[in-house]
Amino acid sequence: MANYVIKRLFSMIPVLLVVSIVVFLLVHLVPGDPAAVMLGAEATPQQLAELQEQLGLNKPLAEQFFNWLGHMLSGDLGHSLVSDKEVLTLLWERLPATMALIMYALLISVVIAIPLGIISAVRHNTRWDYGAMLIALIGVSVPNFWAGLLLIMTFSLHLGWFPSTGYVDVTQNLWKHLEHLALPAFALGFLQAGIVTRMTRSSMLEVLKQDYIRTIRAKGGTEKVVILKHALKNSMIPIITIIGINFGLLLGGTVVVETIFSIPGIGQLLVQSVFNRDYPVIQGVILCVAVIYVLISLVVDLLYAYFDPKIDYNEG
Amino acid sequence: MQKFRKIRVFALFAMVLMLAWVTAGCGGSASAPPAGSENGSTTSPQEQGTPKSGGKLTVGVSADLTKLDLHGSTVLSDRIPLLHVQEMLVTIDEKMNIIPLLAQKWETSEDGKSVTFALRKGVPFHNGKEMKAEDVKYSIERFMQVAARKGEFSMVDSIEAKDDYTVVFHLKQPSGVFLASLANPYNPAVIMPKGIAEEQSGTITKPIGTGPFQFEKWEQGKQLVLKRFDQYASPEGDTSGFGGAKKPYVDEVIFKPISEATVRLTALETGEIDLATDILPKDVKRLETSSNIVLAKETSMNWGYLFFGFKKPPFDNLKMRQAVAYALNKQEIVDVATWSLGKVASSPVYTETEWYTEAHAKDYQQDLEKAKQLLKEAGYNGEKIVISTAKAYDHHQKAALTIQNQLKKIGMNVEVEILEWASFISERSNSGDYQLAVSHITPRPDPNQIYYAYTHSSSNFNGYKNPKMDELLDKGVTTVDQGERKEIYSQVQDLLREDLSFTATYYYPVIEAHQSYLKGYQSWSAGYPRLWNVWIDK
Repeated sequence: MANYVIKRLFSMIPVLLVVSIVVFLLVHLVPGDPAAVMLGAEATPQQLAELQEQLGLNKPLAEQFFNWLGHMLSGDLGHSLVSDKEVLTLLWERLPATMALIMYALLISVVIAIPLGIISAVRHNTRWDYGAMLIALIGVSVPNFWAGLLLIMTFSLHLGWFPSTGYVDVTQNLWKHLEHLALPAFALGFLQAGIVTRMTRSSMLEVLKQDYIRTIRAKGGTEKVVILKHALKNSMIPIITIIGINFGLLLGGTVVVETIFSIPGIGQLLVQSVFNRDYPVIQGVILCVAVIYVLISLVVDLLYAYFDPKIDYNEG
Repeated sequence: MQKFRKIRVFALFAMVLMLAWVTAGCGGSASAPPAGSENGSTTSPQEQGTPKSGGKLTVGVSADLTKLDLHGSTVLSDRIPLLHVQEMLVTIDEKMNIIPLLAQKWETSEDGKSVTFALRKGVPFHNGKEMKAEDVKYSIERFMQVAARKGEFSMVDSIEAKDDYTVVFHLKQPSGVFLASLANPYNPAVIMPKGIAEEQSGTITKPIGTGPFQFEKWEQGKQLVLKRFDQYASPEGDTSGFGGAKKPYVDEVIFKPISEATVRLTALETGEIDLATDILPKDVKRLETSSNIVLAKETSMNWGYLFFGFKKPPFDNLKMRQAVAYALNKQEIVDVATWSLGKVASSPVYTETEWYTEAHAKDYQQDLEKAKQLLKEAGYNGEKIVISTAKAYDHHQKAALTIQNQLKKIGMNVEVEILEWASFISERSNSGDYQLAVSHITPRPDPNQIYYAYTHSSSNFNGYKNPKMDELLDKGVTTVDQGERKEIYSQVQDLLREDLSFTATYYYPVIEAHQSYLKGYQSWSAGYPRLWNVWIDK
């Protein structure tokens, strides 16, 4: 098991290397020059050249890349061109809000999706099924920026139940922390819920048709035991796979949701950095997202072993 | 298993590509202005009872700060909060005239090559030390070294702290714009205590100044907190612009970045913030009916423009530019781009300023027949013409689409190209690689700061070149007599109208809104919300 984990961690290196090359190239090949953005429309060509030199942007692209890579390997992601802060510090400050948001979104989606998926599978082709699938369809179809604005309109403006913007750290005030993240987490989690509901339903349907389920029923197992103990557990592999994949979707969704709800997370940081063409920060954020994603994949793989005893990582 | 792993590798790359796509700006949000967004404020009733101290004032602004070092900053979202903390030697009043702030008075030598400032005595910094000549020398010298816009002080040769309260600026040549450079908030040469940057290891992480509020903390992306500075030594006279009597009443001012205009407005309506800046014109009607919210709107000195590209056909031809000028209906642009809340601009010089003369009021009047005739004379044959604009500001796109429509009426084949802000700046605006460009420019105290940058052949980007214009502009820089300079910039505007390097189209409205319990708030067409002389009454 430990061997497996170590092996997997090492296999991250080439993946991240490729990611970093792709990101670096894309970021630098996109039109728009940070110096020009900083100086605005009336910068003289001379001022531009001076600032570009100051920021190190006049060096050849390859040199810039290897410089960045070299620093990155020693754990230094560079400094923001705009605020001059260290990228690592920026990420460190912003990650808690994003991780909290994603965790709550995930929780909301699972709490909605798994029961809904089970109901629609068990009551296949009934009104329950159609109802659940309708909810799932809405979840999949509604873009999260729109869901976010609707939630703000309804629950902040008209009902006054939740604040519309901002973020309070969990260490400061737990209740306020939850209150501020409720709407954004729901906006983000609803889409995820739609996808997971559909996956739960189809996976459950497949398992419910299996011979061993018939056998358990024949042996007199109650529906509760059949569904929760046998069918659900055996349906879990595709479900956690889709949850793992969707973790990336959630990370991507934070870009929109954090901007709308003014949450100081890495999604908002990314948007601002893109507007300002703050190359080191953009690269840092995307790399950070890639690392999180790869780690989540590993966790998902380890969970497979729990849900399916046939999978044993010790055999190597 | 293997299948799922493959899916995941695929998904990882899909995700990276998606993020990179966002990065590439294809998904740029239309309503989130970049950090450099420059919009403004308006006026609310004066007589509002007796001021009282205390309370917290939360302001919803459209962008977060980018840094705490005003010397190194280039964006409005840094200047709005930090100009409450730090002050300049001289500043601008409500109508952009230059008035004293930390200096009490100044005198220019007869040869025009040195300017002597007498500082106000007994002005404390937030660290308790008194502001003295050495601090001024240090601050301006630092600005001239580190600032992106240090070029504004290229006329300064040296700075001398003659005694504790006297500073002499020695200039390379007499300059008509030196004072305006010192006063221009666009390049904020604020005064900080001597040695502050070195104490804070090179960059300012805890700004210290002489302003009515002192820095408390900045949680990036979340809030900037300022505290009232009780020992604040205010200048005298009527409050105006950044000068005159300034008194901080509220205990704390909190700036909260809320980039979505709709959400900012909602936060105001739910009472989460007390003042919201940058309200969109489309939301004004809705706010007018609200009983708890006071709306403040007026035209600002921000002006929209239509630039002609001289670097490629067809607008290197004067007749083509004239055809466009005669085709424009600026009132219609105002109606569409600003929901009729702005007003028509005939010149970059704002109507209410000292520099506005008859020359700035003159403009082309729409004449479609004449425009068509000019097109014919220019030999235009329906070639495709592109208007380039950015999506960062809603009014840019609306203005561009309106202009497109107006040009189609005289038979031009026009398309609109909408770019993301950073691309617009570097690929179009600053490279001059466009036929027509639509955007806007923020106010500056001195006409030179606009005309020189945008029309002098050594600094403009659109390729316009007229030796007579260069000569006039050079004269405007070195002439010290302000009356004479006023005449020069009238001539500049006349020549600009003839040559049509660009045309100003509209003044964009400044729209802010606040809770009715916020008293004494006065907005300003220069676009800076000011939170001194403001109190909470609830």
